[in-house]
Formats: sequence, C-alpha cells, structure tokens
Amino acid sequence: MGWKGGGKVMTRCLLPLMVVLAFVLPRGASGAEALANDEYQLTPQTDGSVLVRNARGSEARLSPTFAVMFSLKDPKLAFNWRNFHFGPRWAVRWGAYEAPVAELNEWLNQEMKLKVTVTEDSQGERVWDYGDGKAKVVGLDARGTTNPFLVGNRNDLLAVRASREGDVIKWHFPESKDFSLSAELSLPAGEGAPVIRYALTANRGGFYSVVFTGMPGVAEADAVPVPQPAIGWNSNQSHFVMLEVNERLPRAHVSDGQRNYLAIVHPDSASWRDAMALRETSRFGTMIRKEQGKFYPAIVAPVMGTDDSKLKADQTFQFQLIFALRDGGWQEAFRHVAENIYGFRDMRDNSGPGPLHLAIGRVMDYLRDKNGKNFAQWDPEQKYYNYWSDQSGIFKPFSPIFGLSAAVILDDEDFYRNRALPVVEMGLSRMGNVFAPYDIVKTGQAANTMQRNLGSPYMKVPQLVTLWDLYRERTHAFKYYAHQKEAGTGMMDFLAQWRLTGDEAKLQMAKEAALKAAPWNGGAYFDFLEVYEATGEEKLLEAARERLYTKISQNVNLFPAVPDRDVVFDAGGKVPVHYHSSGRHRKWGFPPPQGLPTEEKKAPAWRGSEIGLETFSHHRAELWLNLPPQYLRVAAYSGDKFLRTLARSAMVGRYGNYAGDNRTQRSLVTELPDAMENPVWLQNYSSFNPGHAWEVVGAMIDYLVTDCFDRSDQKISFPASTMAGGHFRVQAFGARPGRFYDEENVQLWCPPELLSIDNPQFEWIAGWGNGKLYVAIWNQSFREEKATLKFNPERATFSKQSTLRRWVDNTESSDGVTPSPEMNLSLSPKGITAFAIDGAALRKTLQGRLFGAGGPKLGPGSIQTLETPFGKLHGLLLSMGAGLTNAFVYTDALPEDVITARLKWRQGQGEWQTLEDGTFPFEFSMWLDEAKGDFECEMEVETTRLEMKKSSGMSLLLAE
Amino acid sequence: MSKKLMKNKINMRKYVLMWLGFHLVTSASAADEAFDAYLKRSANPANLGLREDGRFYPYASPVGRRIGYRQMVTNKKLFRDGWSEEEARQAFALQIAEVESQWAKRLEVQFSRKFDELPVESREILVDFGVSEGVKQVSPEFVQVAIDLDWERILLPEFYARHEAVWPNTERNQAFYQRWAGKAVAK
Repeated sequence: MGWKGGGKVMTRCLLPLMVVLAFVLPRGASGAEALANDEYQLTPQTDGSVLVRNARGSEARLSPTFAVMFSLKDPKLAFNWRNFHFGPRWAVRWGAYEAPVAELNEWLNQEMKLKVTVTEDSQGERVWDYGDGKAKVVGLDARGTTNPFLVGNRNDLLAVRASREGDVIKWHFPESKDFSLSAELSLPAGEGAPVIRYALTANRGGFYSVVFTGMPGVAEADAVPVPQPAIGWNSNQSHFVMLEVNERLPRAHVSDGQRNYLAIVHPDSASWRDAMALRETSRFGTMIRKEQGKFYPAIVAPVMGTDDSKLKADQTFQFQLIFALRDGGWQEAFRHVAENIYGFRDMRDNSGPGPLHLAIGRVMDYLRDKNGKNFAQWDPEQKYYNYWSDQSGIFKPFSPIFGLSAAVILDDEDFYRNRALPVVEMGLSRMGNVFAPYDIVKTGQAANTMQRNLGSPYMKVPQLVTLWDLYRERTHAFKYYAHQKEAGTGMMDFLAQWRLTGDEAKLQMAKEAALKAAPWNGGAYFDFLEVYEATGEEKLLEAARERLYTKISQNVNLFPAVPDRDVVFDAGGKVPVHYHSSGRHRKWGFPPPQGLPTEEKKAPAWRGSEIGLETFSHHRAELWLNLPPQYLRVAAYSGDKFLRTLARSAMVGRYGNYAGDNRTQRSLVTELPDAMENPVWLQNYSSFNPGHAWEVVGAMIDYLVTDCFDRSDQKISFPASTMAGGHFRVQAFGARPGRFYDEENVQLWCPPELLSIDNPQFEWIAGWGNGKLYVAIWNQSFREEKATLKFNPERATFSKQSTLRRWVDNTESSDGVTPSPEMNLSLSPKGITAFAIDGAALRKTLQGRLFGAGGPKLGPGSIQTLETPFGKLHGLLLSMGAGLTNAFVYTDALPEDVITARLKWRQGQGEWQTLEDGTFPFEFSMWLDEAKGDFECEMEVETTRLEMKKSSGMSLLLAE
Repeated sequence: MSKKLMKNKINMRKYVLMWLGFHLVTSASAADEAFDAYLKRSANPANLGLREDGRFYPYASPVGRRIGYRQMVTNKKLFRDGWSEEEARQAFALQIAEVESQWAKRLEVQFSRKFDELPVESREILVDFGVSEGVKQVSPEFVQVAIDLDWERILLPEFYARHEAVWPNTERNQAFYQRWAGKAVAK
C-alpha cells in the first residue's frame, strides 16, 4: 500500500533510472528558457523540475515524475461501499489486487493513522475490525484495495531530460517494454495556470493507469482541511480515488491555509458528453495522495478498470491537467477553479418550464389530489403521504410547516382543511416523524427510525414556535408543547425561546452561543444564518457563508462546462430510466422499467445541465431544493455573486413540477408540468418519494420570496420563520408581516389565481396591508421583456379612486401609470418592477379568517391529557381564525390492545355525537362552531380482550 | 339445463369445493400445493400476526385489521383467541373454495365458460385475484384476458398491479410477476 507498497517497486524501477540520470540529467535549463504569461512563470530547473511562480510571487515546484500502472488482468473496478470508515462508499475499490495483510496493517496504522486491524483466515477471508462497538467489514468490501498504486505493476518514471520546444517544456521519459509516455508543460496565452499534457501509448494490450506524481504537497501538520469528494464527507480521509461520476468539480486540492496547490482536470479532458459519466465511463479520478506524512493533489487518468484504461497495443490515451498555485483561503481557490477554469456562469432563464410560481401551483394540485387519481398517495387515515419508494406503509414528514406555510401564503383554505391541518395534527401526536402504524413487510429502509409511539410532537421547540407564530398565537397547544419540551442550550434553542417569550436575554444567549461556535468547524450554516438575521452580527453571516462553501465544495456539481449549443434530451421520446429503478422495480414486482414517454427535444445544453445541483452519493442530479434559497439569501446579505449564480443555476428555469429526489442522467423531465401525475411504475425517471413534494413546495416558495428579496436589494423583505430540527430545512414565511420598500406591515399573499402574466420569464409575489395591494414582478431573462398583467376580479378589484406607487429597478418612479385590471409591463434584463395599489378590494379566504376578527384565542384550557383505563387520552383545540377551529382527540392505545374506539362529543349543551375509528391511531378531528360553546368528549374503547373501557369526560375551552 | 338445476349443481359444487378446501393439504396435487403456497406467500409473506404462541392474531394493515393470510376479521373473538395455524389454513382453504365457486358461477353466466375447463394458469390467476379483490370486483376485461392468457397484456403493470389502500401492494405484485414473468418470454 502507498509508500510501503510502492517501496519495492521504487527500488526496482526508480533506482536504475537514477543511475541513468546521473549521466543524462536535464542540462541546466536556464532562466532564459522560462515560459510566462500574465499570471504565471515557469522556469525549468537543472533537475528537470519546473519552478512555478504566480503573479503574487508565490512559488512551487513541479517534479517530472509520473506513476504508470499496468495490469494484464482485469483489475475488477468496484466501489468501496461498506468500508466507509476508511474512505467514502463511492471511492474506488479494485478487487483483483491487494497488499499483504502485514503490510496493509502497517500502512493503515502508521501512515493513515487509523485504528483498524485487518486479519485474514486460512481461506483468505479478511476482516477489517475498527474496534469495539464499531464496524467489522467482511466480504468483498474487506478484500482488494483502494490504493491505485497497488493495482498492477507500478512504474515510477522520472524524466531523463527536459527541453524547451517552442511554447512548451517537454519532459522525456525512458521507454518501457509495456508503454511509452510523453509529457509536456505549457502556459495558455494571457492568463491561465500551467497545463500538463501527457500521452500514454500501449506497447501491449492491457489495463493502464497514469498519475502525475510531481505535484507539490503540504505536510500533514500544516494542512488545513479542504472540503472535496477526495477527502471524504468528514474532510479527514485521503489516498483513495473518486471517479468522475462522483466528482463535482474535478480537482484535488491541498492547502496550508496560505497557499493552495490544485491538480485540476483540464476542462477539455472533462468535457460535456451527452451521456453523463458512469463508473465504467469515468475518464479520470481525483485523489489526495498521502505519502510519508505529506498530502499531494493528484489526478488519476485513466483509472484502472474503466473503459478508457483498457488499451490495445499501439493505442494512445491522452490527457490534460492543470496545476494551479493560489494564495489565500481555499474558498477563493475553489471559486477560481469553478469560474475561471470551468467557466461557471449564470446561464439560466425561464424559457424551458416557465415560471416557478406556476410550478408551485402544480405541486399544490398534486399534493391536494386535484385530478382524483391520488398519485401522491395521500392517506387520509394516517394524515400524510405514503413513503412509497423506500418503505411503503410508513409516513415520514419532515415537518408540517412546509404545507402549512404554503396554505397561508397561497391563501388556500381548502389545502389547510384537507392537507395542512391533518399534517399538523399528525405532527402534534406522533413522537417520531417516521411513523409506522401498520404491520408491514420491511424493506430495511428507515428500519432504525420507524416507530409508532403517540403522545407528544416529534417536532422540536423551534418548529413548535414557528407553528405558534403561523397560527398567529391563537393556538395554545404549540406554546404548551414548546414549554413541555426540554429547553436545549444550542443557538437555535435560545432563538426559539426568544421568539416564544420575547425575552431579549435569550436572543443574546443565542448570539453568544453562535459566536462561540463560529470559529470551529461544524454546525449548520442555517443556524448561523438565522441567528445572523435575528441579531445582525456580521461574524455569523460569515460563519454561515463559510459553511455553505463547505457544502458546495463537497456536494455541488460545477462541471462539466456547459457548451453553448443545443443538445438532444430524452432521445427516442423516452425519459432515461434512473439508475435505481431497475432494482426497485424488481422488488416492487414490476417488469424492467421503460422510460416515461415524452417528446424528444433539442434544447440548449444548460436546460438539462446538472450544474448547481447537488450530487448525493452517485446520483449526479439531486433534485432536493433546500439549498438554493439559502445560497441566494446569503448572496443577498453578503454580495457574494458566486452564491447568487449558484442559486440561479440550481433553480431558475429548471422545474415545471415536483420531479422526484434524484437522477443519474440528463433529461428535461424536470420541466414537464405533469410527469409526476403517473403511476409509480412510470415514475422511474428518478428516485421518487411522492410525499417529498410536500417539502419541495416549501423550498420553491422560499426561493421565490428570497429571489424577490435579493432582486429588490433587500427592500422587499418578508421575515422568515425557522424550521430548525428537521433534516430538510428551508425558511417558512407567512407568520409575520414584512416590508415593501418603505412601507411596513405588509402580509405576504400570493394566491395563484390573483393575477396572470403572459410572459414565462416573469415571476411575482404579492402582499396586502395598509389598505393596499402590493405586487412585485421580476424578469428572469437576460433581455428586456414585455408582458400583460391581468388581475383576477375574483380576487382583486380597483376603484376609480385607486392610486398607485411604482418602483422600477428599485427606484420609485412617477411615470403616471394608473392601476387597472390589465397593465402592460416592460422589464429590464433581470429587472424588477413593483406596485403598491391603494384602494384595492381584495378577497381573501384563509388569510381572511386568519387575520380577521372573531376567531378564538385559545388558552391553557384548550389542551388536556387524561389517564384512562386504556391509556392516555389527549385532546386539544386548534384555530386558524373564525370558522377554522377544530378539536383533535386521540389515544395512545395500540392496535394490539384496542379493536375500536368511539368518541362521544358535543359543544356546549348541544347534542352528543358519536364517531368511531377502528384503525390505529385511534384519533378524531372535528370542526367546531366557535359560537356553540366549549368542547366536551369522552372515549370508549373495545379492547382485544373484548372488554369495554371508558374514559372520564374531557372538556376543552374555546375561551382564553 | 334449467336455472334450478344449474343452481343446485353450483351449490353442490360449492359444498364439494369447501370439503376439498378442508382437506387441501392431504388431497392436493403438488401443483395445487405450489399454488396454495404462492397465495399464502403473496398474502402474508412475513407471517404478520403470528405470535410466539404459534397462533395468528389480527394485525394492522392499510385496509383495516387482517388475520392469517390477509383475511377479514369476521369475529371479534379472534382478537382474543386468534387462530392456530391449522385454523388459519382451513379458513384460507375455505375462502379459496368459495372463490372458485363464485368464479364458476360468474364465468358460466357472464362468459359462457366452465371454470374447470379453463387452462390451469387462467384458473390460478382468477382465483388469485378473486381472493385478493373479490370475484365481483374483477373487471370483465381482466377476466377475458385471463381466460385468453394474453400474457403481453397480463404482464403489464397497468393490468395486474394490485393496490392496497392508495398504493401498490408490493407483496402481491412481486409474487404475481415472479410467478408469471417467464410466460411472456416463453411465448
């Protein structure tokens, strides 16, 4: 392994070369032979190395050394998978080669400093034992090697000569019986880092791999962690290869905090291919090589076992890489590679799927089951969507807030009644968010987290406080549960306590906790962002930004560079089948998946590009949308253009609807308005959990509101509420009023039918307050765009006395435009225009009740728990305003003990009514008439012992 | 044949089938046993509800409580007493016999076909769906395709995929597809 494993080969191959070199050392390449451009100078040295000097005067040395691996046999390319304590699951593991056990242990313990012991039995079976209570890795994952220098015969080559030939420095290597290698170094004209080109020609057929081993390194003691796939998810691993398919920006990057040494795949060697890379078609791998206590950046190309590595006699493999020497923090160097070498830039507009606000409406229709086919698999009994793809028969919301906030902002009373409220009730009663009410055949997914305990909310305090806010402090149950939960001591706990109580000391404690945590690694960027928003402390914004960069550097696709041409998507009229689907279809009892029929389209390459999307494991196109709004929010606060471009790359003009979780091939299926309105056997284009549309709609709204915030230079600002404590987190809106330029107390109000605009490049949000209707419209196009805006008289009408204030590109305009049901718009490229219309008559539904008079303010008497002979009986009232008040009653009794539950209930002195539930959980939800008095109930159950058991009476008070 | 005679014959057949159901294990052929095992596997592959005392008790399913081989809980005493494996087996055999009887009747009336004279694959598919969906709930189109053994259609998920509650029933779909997938290839 590594140095040890290679040592024998070094002795065998390199020493004879050294002897030769004593006679033919590169003859003192003189300073006169230096190459230079505006950014770099390359000076050949007498030993064949090249001194690299950048514009700031920093220097590094490139040694003329390569390692070429050769194998006659198939090296058995595979993934590391279960040996992930050592390297990522998706690091390469070759099955055909391995180090002897003693050598392997010495290398793991001494060089890699891992506490692991590898043993081998008489049958050759190996066990990697990571210690008591930790993993034991056996089987294929314990065999083979992740060290590319062990795969085949290693040939370490040192240039016998360096020569300046025109604009290049050529390195000359000795011939081998298996291959010949040529390499040269050059500088692009103007600006640009040194380019190393090499060509390997096979003298006989076999598998080959090449690594330029002459990059400068950083001593382990001096190295700072640079997040990237090549050092694993915890940024503390090294010496394995990550393939192109798992790379996000093809570079290997080491840094001592002052200087950055980067081995970068030249964009021409990582160019766009219409088919995205797979394991076998990967053209290169990235690696942080560790030898003798130093880290070196390395590019491996070709990688043993890939298609490119198999060469016939006389066949040549050519490759280009770049060495960049950058001063400063790693983030700047990373951004430089993305922007200056890979040409990352803003390319997207809405011309594909149309505007995001329409996509939001479609996702809502999918979630509400508008077409009656219930493709989203809503289960009214369980109050959520079936967790189809991973484990059918369980229910896994991340938070009720996504849909609740959407119902409020979109002013959708129907959605509140039929979706948001049930999910809130579910959230208040289930003790875990992976709820498994049924006896089911388990798939193994979510096996460790599923449970069915009832009695208190699975949500933590911050989300309970957000619910308290969203219900406009009318529903005491949220406050009650927030107080019931153990008060944490994290920044978000203090922030939540401040929101709940108004105690400024808690805000100060949140700030102090955040400031204390900021200098250290770890912690969620989102926490720092939200404490920054509450306190304005700039250090916390920077902490959030740094942590976002860590995520981006590890996870976000920034290559291949997108060509400026049209490409064919969904060739043959079928959406490519997702990598996962074949196995899953087999398990689900379906035939091999056939691509969803669609239209083959020739479209600009950027439309289907994965740039800006996360890569999760080996899925190159993660369709989770939680990060982009936060890129944009941090960009707005900090002025970071890179983050703004990244946000646009991830979101703008990409989605026509909910498109599932992730994909492995490019397609325009994400643009289709109705792809998800299909049975599950046709939803094979991505890993598809229908219920995740719930979270996606929250992310889409977050993006839209934040886009307006950024576009208006923060002048249209709606305060967000936290969703801390959930795995998928965005910011929720609707709880508190915001600002519209210089006008305060504006409530976000975006019913989809409020207005229509006949140009797909335009997005909009709206609000009301101060007797006015507020509308902001912005242009996603790079060109000036025109459109006609029509207000829906069902939602908004204007009188002759109506007046209008108007802002154009954030400057108030007095151009005499008057409010009317139909208005012509002309917006500058990526411009924004906004109106405040006085005297508008607005028809609100859910918001009419939420903000109207007459609704109860529920107090401590609105929640109660009783001990009963069959378990606990919980009851509580919720109210979103007059006409939207309900009682929710349930018992924590389990189906093993109870056949049926009956609830007798009434309001005031009204008639008793009886409801029955024979399906676990035994729960009841009833709309109340606020005028008819307090709620009263009792529950009776029939047990599985065939006994009748009854609770005492429960009263829940409608009055405060 | 008069309606009365036909009715008597069907009733007679029903009783015979029920008797056969009780004695399925001792009298069934290997093919019948394999089909019986298939039906049980597709109904309850994980033996849900089978407790340590070796008895089946009702378990929670997305369509309400079920017992044994995903059968309806028709008597509340089952919550307390459960079924022995033998009782579960007998009840299931009875259900199958009843389903066969219903198919015989429906096929004769609606399709002018005799259930016993259908190819064994047709009979098995019809019984399978009769058990899970109810004979009356199976669409005439499905019945005809099963009679015709039009495998290309039968093996389309649009056609055979069964649902439970609001999502596909993976256990039944998996068992069905595995059992019959080779037919399309053979054809």
